[in-house]
Amino acid sequence: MTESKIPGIGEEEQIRFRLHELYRRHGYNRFKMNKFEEYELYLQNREFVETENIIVFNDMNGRLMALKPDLTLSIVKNFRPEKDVVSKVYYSENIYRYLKENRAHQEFMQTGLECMGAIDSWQIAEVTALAAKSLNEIGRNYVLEISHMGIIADLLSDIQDEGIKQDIVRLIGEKNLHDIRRIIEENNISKEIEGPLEAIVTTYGNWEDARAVLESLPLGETGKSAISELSEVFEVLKNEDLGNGQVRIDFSIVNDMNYYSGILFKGFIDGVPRSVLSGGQYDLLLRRMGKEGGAIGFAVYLDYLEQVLSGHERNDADVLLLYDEEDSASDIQNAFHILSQRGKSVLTERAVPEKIRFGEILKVSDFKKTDGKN
Amino acid sequence: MEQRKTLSVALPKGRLGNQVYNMLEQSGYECPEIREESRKLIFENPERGVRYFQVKPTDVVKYVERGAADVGICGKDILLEYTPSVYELLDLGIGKCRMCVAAPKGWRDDRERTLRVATKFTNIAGNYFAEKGRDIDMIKLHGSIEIAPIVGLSDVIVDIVETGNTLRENNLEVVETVVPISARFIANKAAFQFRTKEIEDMRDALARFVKK
Repeated sequence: MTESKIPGIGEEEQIRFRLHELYRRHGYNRFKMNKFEEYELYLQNREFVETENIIVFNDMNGRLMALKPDLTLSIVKNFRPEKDVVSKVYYSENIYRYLKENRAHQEFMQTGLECMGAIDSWQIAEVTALAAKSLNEIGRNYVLEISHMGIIADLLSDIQDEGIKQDIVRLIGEKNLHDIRRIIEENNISKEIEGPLEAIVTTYGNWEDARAVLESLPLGETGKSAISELSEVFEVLKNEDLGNGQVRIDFSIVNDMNYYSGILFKGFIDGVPRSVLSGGQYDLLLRRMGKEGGAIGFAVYLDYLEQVLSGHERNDADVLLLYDEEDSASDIQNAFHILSQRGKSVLTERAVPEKIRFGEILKVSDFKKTDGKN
Repeated sequence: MEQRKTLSVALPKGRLGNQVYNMLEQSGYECPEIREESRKLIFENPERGVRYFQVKPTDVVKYVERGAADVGICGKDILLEYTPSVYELLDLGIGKCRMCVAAPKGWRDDRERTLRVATKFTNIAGNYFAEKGRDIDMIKLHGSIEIAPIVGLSDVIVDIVETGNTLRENNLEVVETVVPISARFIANKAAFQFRTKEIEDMRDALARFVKK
């Protein structure tokens, strides 16, 4: 990882710049957006973005607008498919979401990318590798968890009741085996599904071990092609030196089956209690919006890193330079320049302010004396 | 090999917490000072790689979801009410009870009127009646729920019923069971990625006490 420190810029912003650079190197172009979007877009895709608690207002033409709770929908809306070609964009914008545990709306900076169009196994693998590289750029111990909705959907294909299906998907997400068994029993679902579901919940970690388990499952075409897709992804990751136990299989990464059909992933940084990266393949959203092709992308929430990052400089200024009535403006200016040339940041004040931290306190009069002597 | 990392465990204050601590103690996760009378809030045994703290049962999910505790023990009622984003790794099969709708003996539901429901568990009660398509007037209370229907504050209550003694003594009875409840072993999702082995070991140690 390249550690180029720019003074005065917090670590979070430096990581953001490094991510932009990483995405640019892979041919992604920046997609700039404004903060508003028609509310209608979220209503039409209400399971993709939780529509409750979106901040809504009327614009001057009476249209119902929203402060964006999500960026993917706006990007997909603007996407124009082109035969055999993929469109690659990255973004860094603020979004506005309601946080249940804080019971308040919050502004987040979301940085991420979308790859849309004629995506194939290479594009899927490249985006997954970029997710791992994004975590690597953060420069802390990380884990990228990979899952595949194709395998889960295949195993649940015999269950007709959509409600039960959704409950089981949620329980897989909780690694909650005891309640999966309870649901199977209570709803008289074929016991044959219990073993494979148990395998899905308890299989996590190393890809090679997981593959052996997955290949032993009674999967149909969807499931089998999911396994070969995962194989290719892990192959690419391995060649990029990104395996290393930091990229793992974990089927507790689940998402809405109405939008996600393929690979899914989430990234974690040691010391941060929630996932900082989240993404996957969402072809079904494009289909619902009447567009050809597939799409895959992810978002990084650098705001969540607050707890582990060092923040800005320890002191508000290196030197507090005090002056009084005896000092003329040019005396102060002279002392400032001497310190400034030594690379110090200087705060000039008449008195010591409260609650501001500085490396040392100097007086303008000291500079007049030393200058006189030397 | 990586060295073993200390696990932070949020225990619920009270009988359930004590019961689970006993299980953990017998499984080699002991921390003798927890049994001493003291004003200490956090108990640590670095040799066993474990740190305990006892908090209000409803707060356990907050400590775990936000990663201040790696794992915790709490009732399914709390999980259903707050729906935190955590792993639910084991049903401990203890602290068993039921979430119930209860009303004064002989009460009959008049479907033409809005049902007045008093409860601590507004989420569980709201979801339950919404699924049945029943219009309700929710009254959130913080304790002594049984009084509400007796003095006419509500028609029914939604609350936890263990033996049913409190209900009987107050001339109330269970009308419907909403969901069975028991204690669960939960884990922070991020902590699970970085302390997988430690959390699995504790889960397996507790699983040995679960009666089939």
